Amino acid sequence: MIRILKAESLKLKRRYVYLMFAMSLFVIFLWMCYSLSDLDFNKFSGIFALANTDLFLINTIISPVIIAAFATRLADIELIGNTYKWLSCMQNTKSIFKGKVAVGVICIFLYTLFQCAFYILIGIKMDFYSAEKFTMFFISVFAVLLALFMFQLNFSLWSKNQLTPLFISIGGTFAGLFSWFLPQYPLRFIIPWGYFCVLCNNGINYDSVSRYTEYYWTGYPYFWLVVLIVYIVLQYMYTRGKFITKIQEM
Amino acid sequence: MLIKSIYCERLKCKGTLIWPVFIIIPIIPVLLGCGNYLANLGILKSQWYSLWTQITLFYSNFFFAPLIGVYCAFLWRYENFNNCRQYMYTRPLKYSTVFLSKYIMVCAITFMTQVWLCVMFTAAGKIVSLKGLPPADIFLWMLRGTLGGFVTATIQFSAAALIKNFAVPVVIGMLGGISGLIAANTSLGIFYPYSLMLLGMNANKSEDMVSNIFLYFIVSLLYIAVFTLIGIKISKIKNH
Repeated sequence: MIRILKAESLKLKRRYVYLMFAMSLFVIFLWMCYSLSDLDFNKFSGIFALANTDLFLINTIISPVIIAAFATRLADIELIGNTYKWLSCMQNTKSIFKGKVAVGVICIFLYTLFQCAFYILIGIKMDFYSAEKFTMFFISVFAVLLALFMFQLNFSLWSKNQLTPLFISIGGTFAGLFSWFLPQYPLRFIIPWGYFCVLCNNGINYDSVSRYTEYYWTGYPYFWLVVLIVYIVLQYMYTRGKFITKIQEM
Repeated sequence: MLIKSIYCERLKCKGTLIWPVFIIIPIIPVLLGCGNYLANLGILKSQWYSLWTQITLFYSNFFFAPLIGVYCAFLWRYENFNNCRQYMYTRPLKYSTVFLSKYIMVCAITFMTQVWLCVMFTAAGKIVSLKGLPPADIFLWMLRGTLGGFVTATIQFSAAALIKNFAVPVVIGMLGGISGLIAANTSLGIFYPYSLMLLGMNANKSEDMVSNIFLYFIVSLLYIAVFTLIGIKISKIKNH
Protein backbone atom coordinates (compact mmCIF):
# COMPACT_ATOMS: atom_id res chain seq x y z
CA MET A 1 0.00 0.00 0.00
CA ILE A 2 2.84 2.38 0.88
CA ARG A 3 4.37 1.81 -2.56
CA ILE A 4 1.05 2.64 -4.26
CA LEU A 5 0.69 5.73 -2.11
CA LYS A 6 4.19 6.81 -3.03
CA ALA A 7 3.46 6.28 -6.73
CA GLU A 8 0.30 8.38 -6.53
CA SER A 9 1.98 11.15 -4.58
CA LEU A 10 4.81 11.22 -7.17
CA LYS A 11 2.18 11.74 -9.87
CA LEU A 12 1.07 14.86 -8.04
CA LYS A 13 4.55 16.37 -8.11
CA ARG A 14 4.74 19.80 -9.80
CA ARG A 15 1.00 19.77 -10.47
CA TYR A 16 0.22 22.68 -8.13
CA VAL A 17 -1.99 20.52 -5.90
CA TYR A 18 -0.21 21.30 -2.63
CA LEU A 19 0.03 24.95 -3.64
CA MET A 20 -3.74 25.00 -4.15
CA PHE A 21 -4.35 23.66 -0.65
CA ALA A 22 -1.79 26.06 0.83
CA MET A 23 -3.36 29.06 -0.92
CA SER A 24 -6.79 27.99 0.20
CA LEU A 25 -5.63 27.72 3.84
CA PHE A 26 -4.04 31.14 3.55
CA VAL A 27 -7.29 32.69 2.27
CA ILE A 28 -9.24 31.00 5.09
CA PHE A 29 -6.69 32.43 7.53
CA LEU A 30 -7.07 35.91 6.00
CA TRP A 31 -10.84 35.65 6.06
CA MET A 32 -10.92 34.69 9.73
CA CYS A 33 -8.46 37.43 10.68
CA TYR A 34 -10.58 39.93 8.78
CA SER A 35 -13.91 38.81 10.24
CA LEU A 36 -12.61 38.77 13.83
CA SER A 37 -10.26 41.75 13.64
CA ASP A 38 -12.68 44.53 14.58
CA LEU A 39 -14.61 42.66 17.27
CA ASP A 40 -14.23 43.37 20.96
CA PHE A 41 -13.82 39.92 22.51
CA ASN A 42 -14.83 41.19 25.94
CA LYS A 43 -18.17 42.59 24.81
CA PHE A 44 -19.61 39.66 22.86
CA SER A 45 -20.56 36.32 24.31
CA GLY A 46 -20.96 34.33 21.09
CA ILE A 47 -17.67 35.10 19.33
CA PHE A 48 -16.48 31.51 19.37
CA ALA A 49 -19.79 30.38 17.85
CA LEU A 50 -19.39 33.14 15.25
CA ALA A 51 -15.88 31.91 14.41
CA ASN A 52 -17.24 28.37 14.05
CA THR A 53 -20.01 29.54 11.69
CA ASP A 54 -17.54 31.65 9.70
CA LEU A 55 -15.22 28.69 9.23
CA PHE A 56 -18.06 26.50 7.97
CA LEU A 57 -19.29 29.28 5.68
CA ILE A 58 -15.89 29.95 4.12
CA ASN A 59 -15.47 26.20 3.65
CA THR A 60 -18.79 26.14 1.77
CA ILE A 61 -17.44 28.75 -0.63
CA ILE A 62 -13.84 27.63 -1.08
CA SER A 63 -13.40 23.95 -0.35
CA PRO A 64 -15.75 22.28 -2.88
CA VAL A 65 -13.91 23.84 -5.84
CA ILE A 66 -10.52 22.98 -4.30
CA ILE A 67 -11.64 19.37 -3.83
CA ALA A 68 -13.00 19.23 -7.40
CA ALA A 69 -9.73 20.61 -8.78
CA PHE A 70 -7.82 18.07 -6.68
CA ALA A 71 -9.95 15.18 -8.00
CA THR A 72 -9.44 16.33 -11.59
CA ARG A 73 -5.68 16.48 -11.00
CA LEU A 74 -5.71 12.92 -9.66
CA ALA A 75 -7.65 11.65 -12.65
CA ASP A 76 -6.48 13.68 -15.63
CA ILE A 77 -2.93 12.32 -15.59
CA GLU A 78 -4.32 8.86 -16.38
CA LEU A 79 -6.89 10.12 -18.87
CA ILE A 80 -4.44 12.28 -20.84
CA GLY A 81 -1.84 9.50 -20.90
CA ASN A 82 -4.49 6.79 -21.43
CA THR A 83 -2.70 4.77 -18.78
CA TYR A 84 -5.53 2.89 -17.03
CA LYS A 85 -5.18 -0.20 -19.23
CA TRP A 86 -1.42 -0.09 -19.07
CA LEU A 87 -1.41 0.27 -15.28
CA SER A 88 -3.90 -2.55 -14.78
CA CYS A 89 -1.50 -4.93 -16.55
CA MET A 90 1.08 -4.25 -13.88
CA GLN A 91 -0.97 -3.87 -10.71
CA ASN A 92 -4.29 -4.92 -9.25
CA THR A 93 -7.12 -2.73 -10.57
CA LYS A 94 -8.47 -2.22 -7.07
CA SER A 95 -5.12 -0.98 -5.86
CA ILE A 96 -5.04 1.81 -8.50
CA PHE A 97 -8.34 3.08 -7.17
CA LYS A 98 -7.35 2.58 -3.54
CA GLY A 99 -4.12 4.52 -4.14
CA LYS A 100 -6.02 7.52 -5.50
CA VAL A 101 -8.54 7.44 -2.66
CA ALA A 102 -5.78 7.05 -0.06
CA VAL A 103 -3.85 10.08 -1.36
CA GLY A 104 -7.10 12.03 -1.36
CA VAL A 105 -7.93 11.03 2.20
CA ILE A 106 -4.45 12.00 3.44
CA CYS A 107 -4.53 15.39 1.72
CA ILE A 108 -8.03 16.14 3.02
CA PHE A 109 -7.03 14.99 6.50
CA LEU A 110 -4.06 17.38 6.53
CA TYR A 111 -6.12 20.21 5.04
CA THR A 112 -8.75 19.78 7.77
CA LEU A 113 -6.09 19.39 10.45
CA PHE A 114 -4.52 22.74 9.54
CA GLN A 115 -7.92 24.38 9.68
CA CYS A 116 -8.55 22.78 13.06
CA ALA A 117 -5.16 24.01 14.32
CA PHE A 118 -6.14 27.49 13.24
CA TYR A 119 -9.48 27.10 14.98
CA ILE A 120 -7.67 26.10 18.19
CA LEU A 121 -5.49 29.21 17.88
CA ILE A 122 -8.63 31.34 17.68
CA GLY A 123 -9.90 29.51 20.77
CA ILE A 124 -6.67 30.24 22.67
CA LYS A 125 -6.88 33.91 21.66
CA MET A 126 -10.43 34.04 23.03
CA ASP A 127 -9.64 32.10 26.20
CA PHE A 128 -11.99 29.38 25.09
CA TYR A 129 -11.03 25.75 25.03
CA SER A 130 -13.42 22.93 24.32
CA ALA A 131 -11.94 19.67 23.06
CA GLU A 132 -15.46 18.57 22.14
CA LYS A 133 -16.07 21.59 19.89
CA PHE A 134 -12.71 21.24 18.15
CA THR A 135 -13.24 17.50 17.62
CA MET A 136 -16.73 18.06 16.25
CA PHE A 137 -15.44 20.74 13.89
CA PHE A 138 -12.71 18.41 12.64
CA ILE A 139 -15.07 15.46 12.16
CA SER A 140 -17.71 17.57 10.41
CA VAL A 141 -15.37 19.29 7.94
CA PHE A 142 -13.43 16.09 7.26
CA ALA A 143 -16.63 14.11 6.60
CA VAL A 144 -18.11 16.72 4.25
CA LEU A 145 -14.84 17.12 2.32
CA LEU A 146 -14.53 13.35 2.02
CA ALA A 147 -18.09 13.08 0.72
CA LEU A 148 -17.37 15.79 -1.85
CA PHE A 149 -14.10 14.11 -2.82
CA MET A 150 -15.80 10.75 -3.42
CA PHE A 151 -18.53 12.47 -5.43
CA GLN A 152 -16.06 14.43 -7.57
CA LEU A 153 -13.71 11.48 -8.06
CA ASN A 154 -16.59 9.47 -9.49
CA PHE A 155 -17.01 12.08 -12.24
CA SER A 156 -13.37 12.93 -12.75
CA LEU A 157 -12.17 9.35 -13.23
CA TRP A 158 -14.26 9.02 -16.38
CA SER A 159 -14.77 12.49 -17.81
CA LYS A 160 -12.58 12.94 -20.87
CA ASN A 161 -13.51 16.57 -20.50
CA GLN A 162 -12.60 17.66 -16.97
CA LEU A 163 -14.72 20.76 -17.39
CA THR A 164 -17.88 18.87 -16.51
CA PRO A 165 -16.83 17.86 -12.96
CA LEU A 166 -15.57 21.37 -12.35
CA PHE A 167 -18.82 22.95 -13.53
CA ILE A 168 -20.78 20.52 -11.37
CA SER A 169 -18.65 21.60 -8.44
CA ILE A 170 -19.17 25.33 -9.13
CA GLY A 171 -22.92 24.75 -9.46
CA GLY A 172 -22.86 22.68 -6.27
CA THR A 173 -21.00 25.44 -4.45
CA PHE A 174 -23.74 27.90 -5.42
CA ALA A 175 -26.39 25.47 -4.25
CA GLY A 176 -24.48 24.91 -0.99
CA LEU A 177 -24.27 28.65 -0.44
CA PHE A 178 -27.97 29.01 -1.25
CA SER A 179 -28.79 26.37 1.34
CA TRP A 180 -27.41 28.59 4.13
CA PHE A 181 -29.97 31.27 3.27
CA LEU A 182 -32.92 28.98 2.66
CA PRO A 183 -33.56 27.21 5.97
CA GLN A 184 -37.22 26.69 5.07
CA TYR A 185 -36.34 24.29 2.23
CA PRO A 186 -34.68 20.86 2.66
CA LEU A 187 -32.06 21.65 -0.04
CA ARG A 188 -29.16 21.39 2.42
CA PHE A 189 -30.02 17.80 3.35
CA ILE A 190 -30.16 16.42 -0.18
CA ILE A 191 -26.90 17.74 -1.67
CA PRO A 192 -23.41 16.99 -0.28
CA TRP A 193 -22.42 20.69 -0.55
CA GLY A 194 -25.21 21.58 1.88
CA TYR A 195 -23.76 19.47 4.69
CA PHE A 196 -21.38 22.24 5.80
CA CYS A 197 -24.56 24.01 6.82
CA VAL A 198 -26.25 20.89 8.22
CA LEU A 199 -23.29 19.94 10.43
CA CYS A 200 -22.64 23.47 11.66
CA ASN A 201 -24.00 23.27 15.19
CA ASN A 202 -24.67 26.98 15.61
CA GLY A 203 -27.85 28.98 15.45
CA ILE A 204 -28.35 32.64 14.59
CA ASN A 205 -30.93 35.03 16.03
CA TYR A 206 -31.20 38.14 13.91
CA ASP A 207 -33.14 41.13 15.20
CA SER A 208 -34.06 43.23 12.16
CA VAL A 209 -34.97 46.27 14.30
CA SER A 210 -31.69 46.61 16.19
CA ARG A 211 -29.76 44.77 13.39
CA TYR A 212 -28.13 42.71 16.15
CA THR A 213 -27.09 39.12 15.46
CA GLU A 214 -26.69 36.60 18.25
CA TYR A 215 -24.78 33.36 17.66
CA TYR A 216 -25.44 30.39 19.90
CA TRP A 217 -24.56 26.68 20.11
CA THR A 218 -27.04 23.94 19.34
CA GLY A 219 -26.90 20.17 19.82
CA TYR A 220 -24.67 18.31 17.38
CA PRO A 221 -26.66 16.71 14.51
CA TYR A 222 -25.32 13.15 14.95
CA PHE A 223 -28.07 11.70 12.79
CA TRP A 224 -26.99 13.72 9.76
CA LEU A 225 -23.36 12.84 10.37
CA VAL A 226 -24.31 9.16 10.20
CA VAL A 227 -26.29 9.84 7.00
CA LEU A 228 -23.20 11.48 5.50
CA ILE A 229 -20.92 8.60 6.53
CA VAL A 230 -23.34 6.10 4.96
CA TYR A 231 -23.30 8.22 1.79
CA ILE A 232 -19.47 8.22 1.73
CA VAL A 233 -19.35 4.41 2.08
CA LEU A 234 -21.99 3.89 -0.63
CA GLN A 235 -20.33 6.37 -2.98
CA TYR A 236 -16.95 4.68 -2.41
CA MET A 237 -18.37 1.24 -3.20
CA TYR A 238 -20.21 2.51 -6.27
CA THR A 239 -17.18 4.38 -7.67
CA ARG A 240 -14.87 1.42 -7.00
CA GLY A 241 -17.29 -1.01 -8.68
CA LYS A 242 -17.68 1.27 -11.68
CA PHE A 243 -13.91 1.74 -11.92
CA ILE A 244 -13.19 -2.01 -11.91
CA THR A 245 -15.95 -2.79 -14.42
CA LYS A 246 -14.86 -0.03 -16.80
CA ILE A 247 -11.22 -1.13 -16.75
CA GLN A 248 -12.20 -4.76 -17.35
CA GLU A 249 -14.27 -3.64 -20.34
CA MET A 250 -11.31 -1.80 -21.89
CA MET B 1 -2.77 40.25 -38.28
CA LEU B 2 -4.15 40.83 -34.80
CA ILE B 3 -7.68 41.19 -36.19
CA LYS B 4 -7.33 37.93 -38.14
CA SER B 5 -6.09 36.21 -34.97
CA ILE B 6 -9.04 37.54 -32.99
CA TYR B 7 -11.32 36.19 -35.71
CA CYS B 8 -9.65 32.76 -35.37
CA GLU B 9 -10.14 32.85 -31.62
CA ARG B 10 -13.80 33.69 -32.11
CA LEU B 11 -14.16 30.66 -34.36
CA LYS B 12 -12.54 28.46 -31.71
CA CYS B 13 -15.19 29.59 -29.21
CA LYS B 14 -18.06 28.67 -31.50
CA GLY B 15 -20.32 25.92 -30.15
CA THR B 16 -18.30 25.43 -26.98
CA LEU B 17 -19.32 25.09 -23.33
CA ILE B 18 -18.21 28.68 -22.71
CA TRP B 19 -21.60 30.04 -23.84
CA PRO B 20 -23.83 27.99 -21.52
CA VAL B 21 -21.51 29.06 -18.67
CA PHE B 22 -21.73 32.69 -19.83
CA ILE B 23 -25.56 32.51 -19.82
CA ILE B 24 -26.21 30.40 -16.72
CA ILE B 25 -23.66 31.46 -14.08
CA PRO B 26 -24.69 35.15 -13.86
CA ILE B 27 -28.35 34.09 -13.51
CA ILE B 28 -27.60 32.43 -10.16
CA PRO B 29 -26.45 35.58 -8.28
CA VAL B 30 -29.37 37.50 -9.79
CA LEU B 31 -31.85 34.92 -8.48
CA LEU B 32 -30.11 34.81 -5.11
CA GLY B 33 -29.96 38.63 -4.93
CA CYS B 34 -33.66 39.00 -5.82
CA GLY B 35 -34.59 36.39 -3.21
CA ASN B 36 -32.62 38.25 -0.56
CA TYR B 37 -34.12 41.58 -1.65
CA LEU B 38 -37.70 40.30 -1.45
CA ALA B 39 -37.02 38.65 1.91
CA ASN B 40 -35.69 41.91 3.41
CA LEU B 41 -38.00 44.55 1.96
CA GLY B 42 -38.44 45.99 5.45
CA ILE B 43 -34.77 47.02 5.64
CA LEU B 44 -33.93 47.56 1.98
CA LYS B 45 -35.68 50.81 1.13
CA SER B 46 -33.43 52.31 -1.58
CA GLN B 47 -35.26 50.65 -4.48
CA TRP B 48 -32.86 50.00 -7.41
CA TYR B 49 -29.79 50.68 -5.25
CA SER B 50 -30.93 48.09 -2.69
CA LEU B 51 -31.49 45.49 -5.39
CA TRP B 52 -28.05 46.34 -6.78
CA THR B 53 -26.41 45.73 -3.38
CA GLN B 54 -28.05 42.31 -3.11
CA ILE B 55 -27.16 41.16 -6.62
CA THR B 56 -23.58 42.40 -6.60
CA LEU B 57 -23.02 40.92 -3.12
CA PHE B 58 -22.90 37.45 -4.68
CA TYR B 59 -21.93 38.27 -8.26
CA SER B 60 -18.87 40.43 -7.62
CA ASN B 61 -17.65 38.89 -4.40
CA PHE B 62 -17.83 35.19 -5.17
CA PHE B 63 -18.77 34.38 -8.76
CA PHE B 64 -17.09 36.90 -11.03
CA ALA B 65 -13.41 35.96 -10.61
CA PRO B 66 -13.96 32.17 -10.99
CA LEU B 67 -16.16 32.90 -14.02
CA ILE B 68 -13.37 34.91 -15.65
CA GLY B 69 -11.01 32.09 -14.61
CA VAL B 70 -13.22 29.66 -16.56
CA TYR B 71 -13.16 31.89 -19.67
CA CYS B 72 -9.37 32.24 -19.58
CA ALA B 73 -8.66 28.58 -18.89
CA PHE B 74 -11.09 27.65 -21.64
CA LEU B 75 -9.35 29.73 -24.28
CA TRP B 76 -6.02 28.08 -23.47
CA ARG B 77 -7.55 24.64 -23.07
CA TYR B 78 -7.69 23.80 -26.78
CA GLU B 79 -4.04 24.68 -27.16
CA ASN B 80 -3.07 22.25 -24.39
CA PHE B 81 -4.19 19.16 -26.31
CA ASN B 82 -2.32 17.33 -29.08
CA ASN B 83 0.61 19.75 -29.00
CA CYS B 84 -1.60 22.53 -30.35
CA ARG B 85 0.54 25.16 -28.64
CA GLN B 86 3.54 24.04 -30.67
CA TYR B 87 1.53 24.13 -33.90
CA MET B 88 0.16 27.53 -33.02
CA TYR B 89 3.60 28.99 -32.35
CA THR B 90 4.96 27.65 -35.64
CA ARG B 91 2.65 30.10 -37.41
CA PRO B 92 4.36 33.32 -38.51
CA LEU B 93 2.90 35.24 -35.61
CA LYS B 94 4.45 37.13 -32.77
CA TYR B 95 3.94 35.77 -29.25
CA SER B 96 2.33 39.06 -28.37
CA THR B 97 -0.19 38.72 -31.25
CA VAL B 98 -1.25 35.25 -30.10
CA PHE B 99 -1.50 36.39 -26.48
CA LEU B 100 -3.33 39.62 -27.25
CA SER B 101 -5.83 38.02 -29.62
CA LYS B 102 -6.87 35.57 -26.91
CA TYR B 103 -6.84 38.26 -24.23
CA ILE B 104 -9.03 40.59 -26.31
CA MET B 105 -11.45 37.70 -26.78
CA VAL B 106 -11.58 37.21 -22.98
CA CYS B 107 -12.18 40.95 -22.52
CA ALA B 108 -14.98 40.85 -25.10
CA ILE B 109 -16.68 37.95 -23.28
CA THR B 110 -16.18 39.75 -19.95
CA PHE B 111 -17.83 42.86 -21.38
CA MET B 112 -20.71 40.78 -22.75
CA THR B 113 -21.11 39.16 -19.31
CA GLN B 114 -21.45 42.62 -17.77
CA VAL B 115 -24.03 43.61 -20.40
CA TRP B 116 -25.92 40.36 -19.73
CA LEU B 117 -25.90 41.13 -16.00
CA CYS B 118 -27.15 44.64 -16.76
CA VAL B 119 -30.07 43.23 -18.78
CA MET B 120 -30.93 40.73 -16.06
CA PHE B 121 -30.64 43.38 -13.34
CA THR B 122 -33.12 45.61 -15.18
CA ALA B 123 -35.47 42.67 -15.83
CA ALA B 124 -35.19 41.54 -12.19
CA GLY B 125 -36.00 45.08 -11.03
CA LYS B 126 -39.14 45.12 -13.15
CA ILE B 127 -40.12 41.63 -11.90
CA VAL B 128 -39.79 42.73 -8.26
CA SER B 129 -41.96 45.77 -9.15
CA LEU B 130 -39.41 48.59 -9.01
CA LYS B 131 -40.51 51.80 -10.66
CA GLY B 132 -38.86 53.32 -13.73
CA LEU B 133 -35.42 52.35 -14.97
CA PRO B 134 -32.19 51.88 -12.97
CA PRO B 135 -30.40 55.16 -12.07
CA ALA B 136 -27.60 56.24 -14.40
CA ASP B 137 -24.90 55.84 -11.71
CA ILE B 138 -25.53 52.10 -11.66
CA PHE B 139 -24.60 51.90 -15.34
CA LEU B 140 -21.49 53.95 -14.60
CA TRP B 141 -20.57 51.51 -11.80
CA MET B 142 -21.12 48.66 -14.24
CA LEU B 143 -18.72 50.21 -16.77
CA ARG B 144 -16.18 50.97 -14.08
CA GLY B 145 -16.48 47.40 -12.80
CA THR B 146 -15.86 46.14 -16.33
CA LEU B 147 -12.48 47.89 -16.34
CA GLY B 148 -11.72 46.26 -12.98
CA GLY B 149 -12.89 42.98 -14.52
CA PHE B 150 -10.31 43.40 -17.29
CA VAL B 151 -7.61 43.57 -14.60
CA THR B 152 -8.86 40.27 -13.14
CA ALA B 153 -8.96 38.85 -16.68
CA THR B 154 -5.33 39.87 -17.32
CA ILE B 155 -4.08 38.05 -14.21
CA GLN B 156 -6.24 35.02 -14.82
CA PHE B 157 -5.22 34.88 -18.45
CA SER B 158 -1.52 35.02 -17.60
CA ALA B 159 -2.05 32.25 -15.02
CA ALA B 160 -3.86 30.13 -17.60
CA ALA B 161 -1.01 30.69 -20.08
CA LEU B 162 1.45 29.43 -17.47
CA ILE B 163 -0.54 26.52 -16.01
CA LYS B 164 -1.60 23.91 -18.53
CA ASN B 165 -4.59 22.77 -16.55
CA PHE B 166 -8.17 23.91 -16.44
CA ALA B 167 -8.91 23.60 -12.73
CA VAL B 168 -5.97 25.44 -11.17
CA PRO B 169 -6.60 28.90 -12.79
CA VAL B 170 -10.27 28.64 -11.75
CA VAL B 171 -9.18 27.95 -8.16
CA ILE B 172 -6.76 30.90 -8.33
CA GLY B 173 -9.68 33.08 -9.52
CA MET B 174 -11.88 31.96 -6.67
CA LEU B 175 -9.21 32.53 -4.03
CA GLY B 176 -8.32 35.86 -5.65
CA GLY B 177 -11.96 36.94 -5.54
CA ILE B 178 -12.27 36.21 -1.83
CA SER B 179 -8.95 37.85 -0.98
CA GLY B 180 -10.15 40.80 -3.08
CA LEU B 181 -13.25 41.05 -0.91
CA ILE B 182 -11.06 41.25 2.19
CA ALA B 183 -8.69 43.79 0.62
CA ALA B 184 -11.57 45.93 -0.71
CA ASN B 185 -12.61 46.62 2.88
CA THR B 186 -9.24 48.10 3.77
CA SER B 187 -7.95 51.58 2.94
CA LEU B 188 -5.44 50.20 0.40
CA GLY B 189 -8.00 48.07 -1.43
CA ILE B 190 -7.65 50.11 -4.60
CA PHE B 191 -4.10 48.80 -5.03
CA TYR B 192 -5.07 45.12 -4.87
CA PRO B 193 -5.89 43.88 -8.41
CA TYR B 194 -8.69 41.52 -7.41
CA SER B 195 -10.44 44.29 -5.44
CA LEU B 196 -10.74 46.66 -8.38
CA MET B 197 -13.79 44.97 -9.84
CA LEU B 198 -15.63 44.95 -6.49
CA LEU B 199 -14.76 48.59 -5.89
CA GLY B 200 -15.73 49.62 -9.41
CA MET B 201 -19.06 47.83 -9.20
CA ASN B 202 -19.75 49.29 -5.76
CA ALA B 203 -20.49 45.74 -4.69
CA ASN B 204 -22.96 45.54 -1.78
CA LYS B 205 -22.72 49.29 -1.11
CA SER B 206 -25.23 52.07 -1.79
CA GLU B 207 -22.65 54.88 -1.42
CA ASP B 208 -19.70 55.19 -3.81
CA MET B 209 -16.72 53.07 -2.74
CA VAL B 210 -14.28 54.77 -5.15
CA SER B 211 -13.40 58.18 -3.77
CA ASN B 212 -10.78 58.97 -6.42
CA ILE B 213 -11.98 57.85 -9.83
CA PHE B 214 -8.84 59.15 -11.54
CA LEU B 215 -6.62 56.98 -9.31
CA TYR B 216 -8.91 54.02 -9.98
CA PHE B 217 -8.47 54.35 -13.75
CA ILE B 218 -4.71 54.85 -13.49
CA VAL B 219 -4.24 51.81 -11.23
CA SER B 220 -6.48 49.65 -13.43
CA LEU B 221 -4.73 50.59 -16.67
CA LEU B 222 -1.33 50.17 -15.04
CA TYR B 223 -2.21 46.67 -13.85
CA ILE B 224 -3.58 45.73 -17.28
CA ALA B 225 -0.36 46.90 -18.96
CA VAL B 226 1.97 45.24 -16.42
CA PHE B 227 0.18 41.89 -16.29
CA THR B 228 -0.20 41.77 -20.09
CA LEU B 229 3.54 42.27 -20.48
CA ILE B 230 4.21 39.61 -17.84
CA GLY B 231 1.78 37.25 -19.60
CA ILE B 232 3.47 37.75 -22.97
CA LYS B 233 6.86 37.13 -21.35
CA ILE B 234 5.54 33.97 -19.65
CA SER B 235 4.15 32.56 -22.90
CA LYS B 236 7.44 33.36 -24.63
CA ILE B 237 9.52 31.57 -21.96
CA LYS B 238 7.17 28.61 -21.61
CA ASN B 239 6.87 27.93 -25.33
CA HIS B 240 10.23 28.92 -26.69
